[in-house]
Amino acid sequence: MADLASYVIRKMLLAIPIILLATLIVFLMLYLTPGDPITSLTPPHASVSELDEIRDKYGLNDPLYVQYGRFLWLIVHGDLGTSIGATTRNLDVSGLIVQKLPLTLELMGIGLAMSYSIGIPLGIFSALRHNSLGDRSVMVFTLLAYAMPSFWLGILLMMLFAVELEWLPIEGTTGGFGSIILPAMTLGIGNAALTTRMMRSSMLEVIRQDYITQLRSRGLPEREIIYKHALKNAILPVITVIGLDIGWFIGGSVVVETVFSWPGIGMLITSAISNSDFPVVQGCILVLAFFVIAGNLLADILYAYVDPRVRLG
Amino acid sequence: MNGKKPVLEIRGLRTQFFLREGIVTALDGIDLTIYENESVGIVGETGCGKSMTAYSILRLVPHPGRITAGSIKYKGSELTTLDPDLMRSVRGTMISMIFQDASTALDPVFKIESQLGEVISLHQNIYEKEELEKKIVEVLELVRIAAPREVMRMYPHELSGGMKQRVMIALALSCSPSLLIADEPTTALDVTIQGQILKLLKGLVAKTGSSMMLITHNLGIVAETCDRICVMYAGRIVEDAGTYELFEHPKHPYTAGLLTAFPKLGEKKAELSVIRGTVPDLMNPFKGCPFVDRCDKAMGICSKQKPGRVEVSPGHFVSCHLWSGGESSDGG
Amino acid sequence: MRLRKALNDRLSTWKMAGGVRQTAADIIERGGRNAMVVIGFIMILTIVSIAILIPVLPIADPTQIETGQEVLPPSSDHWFGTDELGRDVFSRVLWGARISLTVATVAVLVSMSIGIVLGLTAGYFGGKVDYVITGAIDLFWTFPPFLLALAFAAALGAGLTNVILAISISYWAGFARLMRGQALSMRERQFVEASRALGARHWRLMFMHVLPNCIAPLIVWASIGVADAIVIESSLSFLGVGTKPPTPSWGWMLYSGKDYISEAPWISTFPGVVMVLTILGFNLLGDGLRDVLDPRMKGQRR
Repeated sequence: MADLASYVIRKMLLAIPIILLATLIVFLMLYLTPGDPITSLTPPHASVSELDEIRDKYGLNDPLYVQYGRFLWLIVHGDLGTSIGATTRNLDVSGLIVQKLPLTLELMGIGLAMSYSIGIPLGIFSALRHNSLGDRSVMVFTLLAYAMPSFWLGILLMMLFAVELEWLPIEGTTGGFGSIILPAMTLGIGNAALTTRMMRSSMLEVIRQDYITQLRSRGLPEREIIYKHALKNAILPVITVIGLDIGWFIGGSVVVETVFSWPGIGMLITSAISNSDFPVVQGCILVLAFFVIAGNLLADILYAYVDPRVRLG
Repeated sequence: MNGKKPVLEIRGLRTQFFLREGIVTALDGIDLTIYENESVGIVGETGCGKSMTAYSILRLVPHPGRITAGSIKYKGSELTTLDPDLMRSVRGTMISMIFQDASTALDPVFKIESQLGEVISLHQNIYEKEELEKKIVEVLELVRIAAPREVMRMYPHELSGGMKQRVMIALALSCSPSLLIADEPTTALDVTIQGQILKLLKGLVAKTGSSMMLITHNLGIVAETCDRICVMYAGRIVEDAGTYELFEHPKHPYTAGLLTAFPKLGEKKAELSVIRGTVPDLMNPFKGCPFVDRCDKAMGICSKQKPGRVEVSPGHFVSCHLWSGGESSDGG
Repeated sequence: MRLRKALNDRLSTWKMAGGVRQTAADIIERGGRNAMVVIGFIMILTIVSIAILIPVLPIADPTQIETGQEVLPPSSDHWFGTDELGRDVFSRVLWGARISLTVATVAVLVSMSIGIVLGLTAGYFGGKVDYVITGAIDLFWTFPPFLLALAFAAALGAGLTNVILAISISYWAGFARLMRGQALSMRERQFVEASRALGARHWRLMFMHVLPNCIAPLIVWASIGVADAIVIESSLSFLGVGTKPPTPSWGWMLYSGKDYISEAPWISTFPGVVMVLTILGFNLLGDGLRDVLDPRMKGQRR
């Protein structure tokens, strides 16, 4: 296990420059906006004195690297700026984020759970019945699910369950567990398609390997060969992409939360965009980027835990 | 024959693959007998069906192939029609196999001790941890692995090629099979290690009294290790004789070609001799002898009729019209 | 029958011609046998033809607001009904196709160009250049394209060109990776060495020799890329940072239609279905070609 520990440390150290790079890009976002950066940081109809005040506060007259340094300093101290949105004027961005984050995490968590609990068994089922009717139906399902952008899938599900069948509420958090199901399902099904395909192709690949034949030649029961040996080997590539999946979920939740008015980070960003609330947008992107990086790191560590060959790399 | 009982009797074995493009006949009527305490070498070019014979015996022919005709008897019991669960009990305990490339034939995500433990537990009903461990160490020592307790806890990728192959041998022999099939056991190894592994195999087989079927394309190896050699070509056994006999008096033109093509020490040659032509297409069944296009001694009948198996001298069988006159006769 | 023969003849001549034509003939021949490729191709052909021909088709103006005609269900006047501002949904859906396809295609072409240049350079020259470019590729590759696009779109603001830019920036890494791999493997090949020995200059080598051999995977990626780009663009539009109204974009239509789901589901349904079919078409073509050309690529994610 010592090799695992050193691998983890190495990977975490490597993540630091990536995080720094992400902060740099987010910082530079301010300068991408059309017009004078100051307009992004101030509420509309601000007076000249207010503009000057803000210019000083953010140090917009200082050279870039100083500004970046200040930016980093503030981040490390948890200060992500102040909102300039209509309803959230002068609230701390970090406060807003901290408030909304748990809801998004909740959504993502359930979505991930759904995605894997559907995708992995379905992929195995499909692989073991290669080219049968069952396999082909699963492939059709994945193709369709993959061709649907999250927001469309969300709207469809909404139409089906909330409007037609009236089983579930249309939006908001009011319905308790009921209201998280639809958005979670949207995310879950969308990603399940990808997971299923990966699991299926991985399983098909593994079954053809020499060691599977070798295990059979030892007289081991087929069940054990498939569910102990083949599965453990086949699941590796699927685990590798957990990091990518988390990234997908983060992106997806922005959209899905908007569809279902689920008040998490996604909705926060969307309303901030429509309110031209740049500091909030910037803060959210930074936090999301951080989660993406963390997700990838987690996936790397998980992979090394499961596949010992990777620890040397 | 000489009072020894047969461990394996194969008669007329035909294994075919049913592809979209056509039917490939990998094995076209194999007749083979392996006796107790005997080491038989199966030699031939790549693709001649050597490995497929091994897979057919164990009924591990991969989809879309299957055994379409013939009989395989292990100590008198017919294997081809055996109930799948019973067949499973044959594998690993009575007939066992060593694979060519130990790097791909060992499960990469399980430690050596689990892989060995799994097989030993299953076949010898030993589940208690300490006893199992003892057995594992025993079997690793049998294949001459130094520091078995450390090696046990390693993963396959941490071992060298030679050690992996030893583990493979350990896996195969752990349950004392009566027949050991070794499929190109040394091909993937360094030349220096090859000798060690062969010696190990020979010693173990002698010690346990099992029979061995050694598959290889290397004549040198069978010369050293086997009592008898079968030469395969395009899915058929063309010659079957004792090692000495085969080398001294090869009867089939293909065997003769192989022997001359094999450069020998001390022989001065201007060019390496080759057998002209290439291996035939197994998808288009051919009425006559498959070697006809490459044979210097081909006659008219060779393209029209398959030669039958003839015993030209005691224990020496050939499938060739030069010796059979077109009629098949009973092999011993 | 005669058409088939003519086609086969043309394919054989191409195959013997070697080079790009041979690759093309190979792709057409093998692709033609794969159901996914054929279906995908037909779907794409249909929607692209519509998108191109739209300006001359006799359909309603998609931006024409007609008060008094709001939220009408499908009828013979308005095949897909009207939306909340009285605009004809059918025409908006078709114009939306034009917009989305344009954005997606241009975005993919731009990212492909960036990716090809950077990827080839990295793979071909190696060393420090490779190191730097690979670092950039890895960074962009690990981020979900949608988030990157969202970040850039949010900064740049809504609008067609901004969307194209945003998507291009987030998508180039995939192409670069692909080309880098190809360049690396090609570098050692005989004909590259030979050309170099004959004194060919680097750029010429890269573009005339390395590139044509990579056409197959490029087409696969491009096709899937267009599908992804359509998804990203419509998602961005849905969130308000994509194309701006009154430009008829599928994303926008779905967003505004969402509020009318119970009373007027057709406002969202039709654009949605057409959008999914378009995306499906490109995915089918890309996946099918991938299966045909290189089954080993199957397990890979974008």
